[in-house]
Amino acid sequence: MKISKELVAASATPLVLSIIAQGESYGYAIICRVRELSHGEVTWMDGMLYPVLHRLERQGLIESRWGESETGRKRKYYRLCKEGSQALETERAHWQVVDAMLTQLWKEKPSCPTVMLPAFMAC
Amino acid sequence: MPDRDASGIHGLLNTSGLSDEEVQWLASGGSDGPASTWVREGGLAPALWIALGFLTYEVFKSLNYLLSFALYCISPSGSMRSVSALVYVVLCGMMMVLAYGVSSGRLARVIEELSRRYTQRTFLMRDLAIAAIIFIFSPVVVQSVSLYMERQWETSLGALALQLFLSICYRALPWIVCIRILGYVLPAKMATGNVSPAIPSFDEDEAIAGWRAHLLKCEGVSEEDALELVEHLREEMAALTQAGLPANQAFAVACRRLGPPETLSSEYAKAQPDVVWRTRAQWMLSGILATLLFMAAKQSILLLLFGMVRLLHVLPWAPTLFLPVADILMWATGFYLFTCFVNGRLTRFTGWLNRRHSGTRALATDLAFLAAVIVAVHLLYMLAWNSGKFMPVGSTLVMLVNAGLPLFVLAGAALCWIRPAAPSQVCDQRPS
Repeated sequence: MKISKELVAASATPLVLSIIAQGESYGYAIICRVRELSHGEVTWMDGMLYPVLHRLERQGLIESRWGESETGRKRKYYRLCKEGSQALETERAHWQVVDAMLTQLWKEKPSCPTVMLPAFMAC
Repeated sequence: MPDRDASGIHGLLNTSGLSDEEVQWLASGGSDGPASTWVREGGLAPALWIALGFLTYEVFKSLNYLLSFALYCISPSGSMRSVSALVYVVLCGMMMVLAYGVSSGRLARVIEELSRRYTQRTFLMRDLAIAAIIFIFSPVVVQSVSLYMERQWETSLGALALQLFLSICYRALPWIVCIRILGYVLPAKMATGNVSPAIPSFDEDEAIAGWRAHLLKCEGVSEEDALELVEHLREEMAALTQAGLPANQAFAVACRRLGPPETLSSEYAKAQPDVVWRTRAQWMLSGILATLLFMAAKQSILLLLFGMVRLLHVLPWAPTLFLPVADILMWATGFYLFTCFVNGRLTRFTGWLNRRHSGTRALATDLAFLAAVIVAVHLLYMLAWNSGKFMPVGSTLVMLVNAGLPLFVLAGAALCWIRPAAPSQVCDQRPS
């Protein structure tokens, strides 16, 4: 099952913020975490993550620093800011509302639509 | 053969984490269908914006000539040079408004609309050819009318025909060469990696360097972004290679997972539109400045040649034929240099220029120095034409306005103003 592009795009911000909220991370690790969490159902074009990260950084939700990887190469790490934590809380509240609505709707048994029959056919 | 390759790749499915789609893609030889349009592929090269800046200058020059002539016809009492200088100043103002519109992104919608219109390169070429015909021939027609009004037809028809022919050549050459260069730049090929089963001589660093170079040609992607993406590519490749995929296939899959550079570029551009528009305006202004500098250099060489011809008292026909030919030869040299820039043969020079102008103050100082050189060259030019006598101050100012000095100063100031911040130190370090 492939999740639509629109849903992937809509969920990108809360997903990225939630992963970074668990601790400082970098692009490739975030992608791997998404793959792992979704069991491959959510497929991002990897490069698309970085413009999202940059947008969040410009919005002041996350901040970055250049560090070194295990191999000694340069690597950019991202961590959540205070504003980011607040934004994540807001996102969580929004998604929980949507989740509650859909869960409630799908729990209810679908009832047959009421058809108004003419009087002579009703009996 | 493809079946055997496919079965080999299918064997890797469970171990290397390739999706079904990726396995099929590798089995099909790594083809993603026909190449995309020029707007996505090559429309992002700086050379395109420099060429467009250059053509803008050509249009500017022709408009200046046409409007000056129209105003002169309405009010023949004013001298042609004064009217031309007035029109020049007004057009300079309009150019600056245009530069502001481009750099602030206010014209983004117009340019996006144009990009949509020119989804095929041939449409752009056709429209540029039409524009070239209009802006080459209309000044020549006006020039003919002007000559007729001055009754120069009566003197020597042959000389006038030669003058008009050279005028057409002089105006047509920049358009022809620029359109030719655009035709060369636009269908830039994408670096898709070879995905044949295994290449023992596959050079990973070279492939990554090629991919990075292609990425950096796309606008919106800075050195810092490229470094981050290259690091991602390396990690992805390492994971795929560790899982058993040959290096060349790991590279191809990693590139595919990251996405085509053109798509990445458009996403980066969406994330930071102000930076992208500033860069575009920066390249256009650089194109205009380079053209004005080239014109000044050309004029000084012509002045030198003219002086030599006059001093030696040889070749009486030289001013008629020799100088226009020298002029055209210098245009050809200028375009050759531009082609070298497009081909990346001037990387040492452009690298030095980049390093030198890392600060706005250094750029402003150099531009001020070049403006002073332009003034000096034109004063010499005037002295030569005026037999060693200085012209009145008013005429000198009019001459300097016509020489493009206000446009040079304004374009230089705009370039210093809109110049993106110098990249941080980390970007200069290449990954080890």
